[in-house]
Formats: sequence, structure tokens, C-alpha cells
Amino acid sequence: MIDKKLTAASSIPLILSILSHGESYGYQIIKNIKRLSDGKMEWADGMLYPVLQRMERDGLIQARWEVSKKGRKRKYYSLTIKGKERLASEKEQWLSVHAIFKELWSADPQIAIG
Amino acid sequence: MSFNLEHAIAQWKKKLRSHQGFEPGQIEELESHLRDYVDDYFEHGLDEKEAFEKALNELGELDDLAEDHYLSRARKGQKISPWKRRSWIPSLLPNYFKVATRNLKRNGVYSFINIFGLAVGLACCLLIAMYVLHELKFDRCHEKSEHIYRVVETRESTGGAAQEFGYTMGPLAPALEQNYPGVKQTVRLVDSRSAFRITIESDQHRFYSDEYLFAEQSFFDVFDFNMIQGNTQNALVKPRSVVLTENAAQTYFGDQSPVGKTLTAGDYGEFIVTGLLENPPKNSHLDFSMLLSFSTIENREEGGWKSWISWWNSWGFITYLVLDDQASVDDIENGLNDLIAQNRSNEKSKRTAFLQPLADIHFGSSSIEFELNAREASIDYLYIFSAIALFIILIACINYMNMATARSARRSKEVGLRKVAGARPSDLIGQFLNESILVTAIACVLAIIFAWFALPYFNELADKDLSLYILLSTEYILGLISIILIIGLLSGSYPAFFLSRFRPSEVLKGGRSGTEGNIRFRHGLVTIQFGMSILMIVATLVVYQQLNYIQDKRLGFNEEQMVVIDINERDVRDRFQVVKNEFKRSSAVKNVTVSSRIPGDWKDITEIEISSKMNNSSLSTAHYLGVDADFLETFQIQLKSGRNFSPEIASDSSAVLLNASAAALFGGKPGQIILHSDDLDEPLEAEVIGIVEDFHFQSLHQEIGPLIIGHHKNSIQSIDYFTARISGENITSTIEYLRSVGEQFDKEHPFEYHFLDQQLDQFYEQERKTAKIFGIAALLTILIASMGMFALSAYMVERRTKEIGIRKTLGASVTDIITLLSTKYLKLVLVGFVIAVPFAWYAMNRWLADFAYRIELSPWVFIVAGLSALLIVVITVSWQSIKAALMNPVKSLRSE
Repeated sequence: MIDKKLTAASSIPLILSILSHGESYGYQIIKNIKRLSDGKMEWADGMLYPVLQRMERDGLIQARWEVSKKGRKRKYYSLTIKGKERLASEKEQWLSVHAIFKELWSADPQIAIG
Repeated sequence: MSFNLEHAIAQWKKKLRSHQGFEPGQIEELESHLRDYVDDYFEHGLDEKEAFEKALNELGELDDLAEDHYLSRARKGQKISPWKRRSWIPSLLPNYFKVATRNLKRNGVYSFINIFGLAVGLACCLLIAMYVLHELKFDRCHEKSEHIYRVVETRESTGGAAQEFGYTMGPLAPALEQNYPGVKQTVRLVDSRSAFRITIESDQHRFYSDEYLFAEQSFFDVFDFNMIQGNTQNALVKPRSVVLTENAAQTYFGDQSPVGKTLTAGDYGEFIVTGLLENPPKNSHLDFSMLLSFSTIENREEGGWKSWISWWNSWGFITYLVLDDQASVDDIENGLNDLIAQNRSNEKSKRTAFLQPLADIHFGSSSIEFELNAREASIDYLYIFSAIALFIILIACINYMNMATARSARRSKEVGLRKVAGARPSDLIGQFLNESILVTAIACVLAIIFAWFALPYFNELADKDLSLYILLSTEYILGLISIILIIGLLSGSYPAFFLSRFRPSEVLKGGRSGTEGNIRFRHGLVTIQFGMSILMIVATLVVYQQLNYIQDKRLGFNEEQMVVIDINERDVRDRFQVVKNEFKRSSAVKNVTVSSRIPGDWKDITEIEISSKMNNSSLSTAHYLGVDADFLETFQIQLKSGRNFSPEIASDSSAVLLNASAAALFGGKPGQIILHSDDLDEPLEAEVIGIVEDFHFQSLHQEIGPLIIGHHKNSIQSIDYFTARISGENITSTIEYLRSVGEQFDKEHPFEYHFLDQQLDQFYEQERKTAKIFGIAALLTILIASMGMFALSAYMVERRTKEIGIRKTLGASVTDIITLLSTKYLKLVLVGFVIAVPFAWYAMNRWLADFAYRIELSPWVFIVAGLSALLIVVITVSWQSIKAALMNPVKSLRSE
């Protein structure tokens, strides 16, 4: 199970990353996250939407309503330019962290000990 | 029932919509999410219901969900949503207060009228509530009050109706206590009417007193009067003991401590003061200034007291019983009558008795004669007072409602803004109720101040000793708070619901939303106000008219300039002719007569039975006066036929005069009649020598009944009063002359006199008070109503300033404008008048029914009341209209 604080901290980059592959709607985003994390990342479903709204307000994503073939109304989100920039910066940060852990968890990390 | 997904989703959406956390788009988004979920689960083989429930579960708690949504758009720093805050006080309360006080300040005149009107109304309510509670607690100050009963005797005689008396036989109380264990305690009292008045002498003073009671020691076991000095265990045990009240002690001994001092009480000799009592409270039917020990008379041979007290045919003992909790009143009453039947013998009239609960004495004794009942009252007056209080407070509330709704247009923008900012109707209702409660609370504080100043006058008017300090008890404080809440809610409810229904889209655009719709409501309220005012004016006019009628009514005798002088000395009684002649020597004394009673002492006028000589068995009751030959002339009573008594004719001592009503009993030609009385050894055969015109020997509440005027020499009743007709000039010196003669013949007793017209006036004390109260209430009602009217019309004029300006530029005259603005209100008064008349007519006829001699309600009363209401409206409304009509249209039209 992934820690709650880490889940919260990663929510924005996660959403940005999913949307970087094309527009999507809330239910799909959650399903994707659940599948990718193999159910290890716990998202209360309702929690996603406030986050999406905040991101929309901050100008990271934009939304539009669309009616599906079945007649269902859906709100589709896609990245804005600002969102793309933000994703790039997030990616850089997460990769830096990732690089640090990778080095630390290798057989022979380059660190001074003792 | 099968599960319907669409229905369930609709229900769920409804819940979301009513929650302030969500905004419209968010709900649709959540819905589509939910539907996707359900579809997914459905594909996994769950049925619709399970799928829906599972999906809901995944979405999480509604409140948490709403909270997340709410906070996502909330200001920075807001950590908690309003519905999660743990407090019942609305978060905007400080703001409500701010807006309310701002509004009060900005609309000075209107606020003043509202608050002042309410305060006056509340002050009236407060005083009247205190009065009513005081009355309802009459005689409840005694610990055993619920178990105390008074013995009331009923006498039936063959001819007349049954009479009830507060006096009974001497031996009854001890016999009851002995024979019936249900009777725990008894006390016998004897008052001045049985024991005659006594001159009380201390070192410094000599007074007549009829405010004393002979009381048994058990008085202190039965009743709880507070003893300041002395011992309630034995204060009245010994003969010749006296317990004084503070008032009496002050009179006889000034500031010195009275206990241990001596007083002389007439023939009874010297008494030792054994105790000092607080003055009896004003809500006690027992009112006395001193208690003399009953043992003084119990073993006294002089005056026949000893045998009188133990005789079963005696009379004049006021008897109270304390019954056991378990005892049945019926059983005791039966026992009481058994005892009377066993012990009494050989009497013409049948005497029985019943028990009257202590609590019933104050309001329920109108038919009982010879009783101790200070400040006896009619419960009707409590109802009248309460109704008046309700009237006034209602009118003040109506002012508030009217003003608040009328001025709602001014606040429609505020309501609109609050609604746009998310206020729900319930928030707005809360806000406006909060405002009206604030106004009521301010008014209440003012009301207490008003009541404080009005209380001395009120006490005088109502003969009470009420104090505002009783307001400090918890029950009154709680009562006051509930009154504030009730009145605040009552007067605030309509404006609150009305204002909260405004549609923000309309009011913000500047539409006059709703303001027209409530005009009919407001007019209805104004009509009610004026109906009430007219009712009060009619009541006042009728009460005053009836009082004037009483004052001016020809009583059948001339009561002006009549001085009544009491005969207190046997010697004077025997030599009355000499005293009369001495009185007459002054030229200011026109005539003097002696009589057993004076027209006006109605309760004490003796009643006897009469029958015709032909038909001895059919008895009628009649009142009886014993008089001398000068009676008719002095009182200026008209002789209808026959002749007056004559000093020259010796047989006149057994002759009688009848009044016309008595003569009518015998077909107008009585000849000889037979008088029956307990005071006669055997029935007296009397020659009827003359018939006089009916005159009012009782108050005008009573119809004139049969009256026998007998000669002073027969033994039915001895003479007790001189009545002198004096000249209207130099009354003081005439009185001084009468005094000097009186004191010359009776050196022992103080000279006692009163004026007959003043005495007669006392019959109508209650009515005069009522008239005053109605007058004051009518004035207040009209004042508050017209203040409301004034404010309302001022507001209307203010709203129509432009219209008036345009009308004037188009050529309307000042009169046109005034007519335009006033006619509507005149119509309302007319409607109010039509509604009020039947009520007023009914109510005043009921009140007048209490008088045997009364005015007829004339239409003029109603017309005058209607016209005065009309006049008041014209004055208040036209003041505003004239102001508006005279205004220069340039000013009013330029103002935008």
C-alpha cells in the first residue's frame, strides 16, 4: 500500500502524465491509476474531482463537456501549455529523486560512509 | 419493490443539490462518474442495486465529498466547511447584528416608533401581568391555604329567596373539631359588625376602630401572618391580649415598641399588647389592624357574650376550618348540617351551611352578605384587563409588521445580494427574526423603565402594592425572556417569510418585487388596528356615559348636602329629640331626621318578611327602615298617597309606610299588613298609613325592591343615625357646630360623620376605576396605532414623491394630492368601523347588564367613536400628504 501523503503529493504529476497521452475524463483517469498501481495506490473516487477543479482553476488543464454515443455527458480534461510546462518540471524533479534512489539502492552506491 | 436505477440516481442528485458544498457542474460530473462505475460493476455480473450501492460506497461519505469540493474553491486559510463547524450560532450572527443596528440607526423615526410602541405595549403588559398574577395568588400566602375552608351559612325562609352569610353559630366550630377527625383545626373570628365599634385609647391617641377582630389563638395555626415581635404560640391565649399590625402600632404608639404596653378598648377594658404583626398583604381577604383575644369575650357575662357564644341559635361567628388531606368536603358538610339540625331548635328560618374553599373567597363571594372580604373582586375584570393588555401589544406588533414589510423594498437589494452569496431562505428568516427579537429586547428594557415610573400610579389606581422587585425571581425572568421571544417571533414572522421569498434576479435588476403583493396584508392589519381603537373608544365613552347617568340619575331623594352622624351612645339614642332640637338651632341646619339605616348602606339594611292580613301564609321579603316623622321631608322623598307619620298620633308607632314596590305586592291597596322578624316576639300587625314613591335605597346595580318604612318606636330596629340637611355655604363651620353638639351629648365617643353623596359614590368605585383604565388604554391604543399610521403614511408619501411631482407638474392641485393620498386610509377606517361595531355593541351590553339602571346604547356613541378615529387618521395622514403636496416638484423630480 502506498502511503497517503505520497499519494497526495503525486496526484498532480500523475494526472498531468495521464493527460499528456490525450484527453480523458475522471472515471477513466482513476481506472488507469488503479490499474497502473495494481491497486496499491488508494484513491477515494470523490477525491479526484476537487483536485481536477483546483488544477483547472490554476490553469494546468482545461475541460469541455461532451455527450457520448450512449447519450452520457462527460467532462473531458486536457493539458494546457502551462500544464505541459508543469509536467516537464515535475518530470525533472521526480526523475532526480528517482536517480538518487537508484544510485542508493544499487549494489555499490557512490557515497561516503563512516 | 424493484430497484430503479434512474430513480435512485435522481434521489441521490437531489441530496447533492441541497448540499451547499456542490456547484451545479460538479454534480453532473459526479453523476457521470457514478454511472460509469455502475456500468462497470454491472458487466462484472453484479445486479443494478448492488452495483449502485458499491459505486456509492467508492465515492465516499457525502459530507466528506462535499467538504473536498467546497474547500477546493474556498478562500485560502479556510480549513473547515460551514456545515462541519460545531456551533448552532450562525456564522453571520455578528454581521446580522451589525446590519440590524445600522438599519435601526439609519431609520431613526421608524425605529423610534417601533421600539417606543412596543415598549409602551410591553409596559402595559408587564403591569397587567403583575396585577393578574397578584390577584390569582389571592389568599395563597398561607401554607395550608389549599385545605382551609370558610363556613358559609344559607338561610331559607318560606317567602324569600335563600340568602348566604359569612356568619354562623358560635358553638359550631368546637363541635366540629370534637366530632369529626377530618377537621384538623378551626378558628372563630368576631368582627366589629357583631361586636360593635370600639374606641381604642392609648396614652397619646383615641380612635374609633372597626378594623379589629376577636380571634382565637388557633388563628396562627390556620393562617400564616408574619409575627415581628411576640410569640405566635401564645399571643392570643389570655383574655385581654391584643396583637397589633405595624400600621396600628404606628398609630397608637408611634415608633416605640408596642409589646407590653396597654390599650383601652371601650367597655372591654385594658388590653396588653402581646405581639406585633406585619401588615396583612394586600392580596389577603382578611384585612385587620388588630387582633383581640377571643378568650376576652368567651367568658364574659356582660353583654351576654358567654351564653351567646355557646348558643346554637347565635350568629355572627366567622368560622374557618382546616381539613385533613384525606377528608371529604362533602362528608364534613353533611356532618356540619347534622350537627346544626341536632342542636338547633325552634326557629322560623331554616339555617344550613356549606364550605367555601379559601381560594374561592376573593372572586366567588358576590352573593354572600356579612362576610369579611377585603377587596372582593370580580374575575370579569381580570379578563378585561388581560384583553386590554393583549390589544395593546397586538397593535404594537402590527406596527412592527407593517413597517418592516412596507420598508422591505429598501432591503430587497440586501436580500438579493445575500441570496446570490449563497444565503438560503432559512438563513434569511433567521436574520430577520433575529432583528425583530433584537428590537423587542430593546423595547423590553425600555418597558421595564416605563413600568418603573408608571407603577406608583398603577398601584394607586388598582389599590395594590405591587413592586418591580418581583421581576427578579427566576420565573419572571424566564417569563420575560419567553415574552420577548414570542413577541419577536410574532412580529418578525411575516416580514421574515415575506422578505426571504424575494427573487434575487428581480430585485437586483431594480424591480419592485413583491412589494405590491403585501399591500392587502398591510391594509388588513391597519384595519384591525383601527377596529380595536374604535372598540376602545366606544368602551370608554359608554363607561363614562353610564357613570354620568348614575351621577345624574334622580335617586328619588336628594342626596346633596346631607350629613350623616352616627349614634354611638345609648343616652343619645334615648334623648334623640333633644339632640335634634339642638342641631336645628343653627340656621345652617335645615332639617334633621333619625333613622335605623341610611339609604346607601345596602348590605346592612335589615330584611324582614311581610304578609297581608288576609293571606298570612304567603310571605314576601322586604327591606326595612325605622325612621321618625321628619324622614320624608329631610330626604325629600315624595309621598304618593296617604299621609306621613305624625308626632301627634300615638298609634303611628305601630304604623308603617310602604314604597310603591311594596304596595304593588298587595295590589296597591294594602290596608293592614303583618311584619315577621326574628327581632319581634310575635308578628306585628301594622296599619299602612301612606305610600311613598320608589327611591333608590340601594346602589343602582340593584333594582328597587319592596321597602317598609316603620316607626322608630317599634322594636324591629333601633335608630342609629342622625341625618341633617345643611345649607351649601360655610360647610366647615356647620360641621364644627354639629360636632360641638354631638360631643356635648356623647362625651365618650369621637364624633363620627360622613357626607351622604360621598358615601353613595363609593358604590361606583369599581366602575370609576374601570372608566379610568379604559380611558388610559384607549389613549394608548390610539397613540400606538396612529404612530404606526403616521410612519406608514410617511413612508408611502416618500415612495410616491416622484409620482406626486409629476402629477403636480401636470396640473394636480394640492387638494387632489391630499385626497389621493388619504382616501385609501379613510376606507380602511370605515371597514375597521364596520367590523368593530358588533363586537363593541355586544361587549358593552354585557357590561351594562350588571346595572339594574342603565343607559341604552345609542348609535351616537358609535358614530362619535368612528368619527374620532377618522379624525385621527385625517390628521396623521394629511400631515404627510400636505407636506408632500406642497413640495416643489422641481426638487422631487431632480433628485435622481
